[in-house]
Amino acid sequence: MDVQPDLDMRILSKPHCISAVKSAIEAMALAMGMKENDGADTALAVHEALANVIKHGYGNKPDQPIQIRVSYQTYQGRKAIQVVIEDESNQINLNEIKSRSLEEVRPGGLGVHIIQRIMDQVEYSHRGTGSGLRLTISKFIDPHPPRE
Amino acid sequence: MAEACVISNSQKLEDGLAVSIGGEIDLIRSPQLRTELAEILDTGLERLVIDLTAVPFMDSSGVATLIEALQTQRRTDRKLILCGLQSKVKSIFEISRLDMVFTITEDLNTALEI
Repeated sequence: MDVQPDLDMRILSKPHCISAVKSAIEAMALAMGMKENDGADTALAVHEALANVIKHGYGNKPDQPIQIRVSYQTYQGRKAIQVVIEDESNQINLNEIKSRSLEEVRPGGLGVHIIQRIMDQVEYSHRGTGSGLRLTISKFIDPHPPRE
Repeated sequence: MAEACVISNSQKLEDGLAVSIGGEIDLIRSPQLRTELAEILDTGLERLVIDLTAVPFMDSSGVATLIEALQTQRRTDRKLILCGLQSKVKSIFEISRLDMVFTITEDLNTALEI
């Protein structure tokens, strides 16, 4: 069952819309009790995910829809902020979404790596509508797991 | 409409140039930064110092632009030094482990001493 999100945003695939979402995510993360640096990193991960949707999913077309839902979740028994990003781009093979090796110093391909380094859960899936990608990312609010 | 310059200030050095960048460097402004840096690097500077003190945020497109500039300099055995990274900018370099690849100094004065 889908959980009602705390924040539900719909934007068009325009680069300047990313900044507005980034600010909202950072504020939301802090409000949920995340440390300032982790909140900023979470906002960066969402920024990179949206930039990838615009660049790769929509080929820089500026009038395409993107939905961002933010919720306070329990993930692996710990409090976490979860962000679900959905687009309506052509469906791609999920195995094609790869983080590049950091041994290669070259421009490009950094976005996926940054998302994976920052977030505690990263899951790509196809939407059930025949088109579009869903990215579900979560980050623990408490960086340390509770002691056994 | 012409894009506003990303490089806000420049200072001649004995062997190159120190430039200051201002504002957020993201998908919107990275192409302009790429153009401006390419024009500067075309002149064949022995050393380019990029002061990021006035950059509160940079995304991977900004980092990619700086990687291109670094590669241009290194191909010809020239130097590129970054300085004055704010916490969010420092963080993206650390996350992508590029803090080990670039020469980064605390501030402009330190960069000028290298």
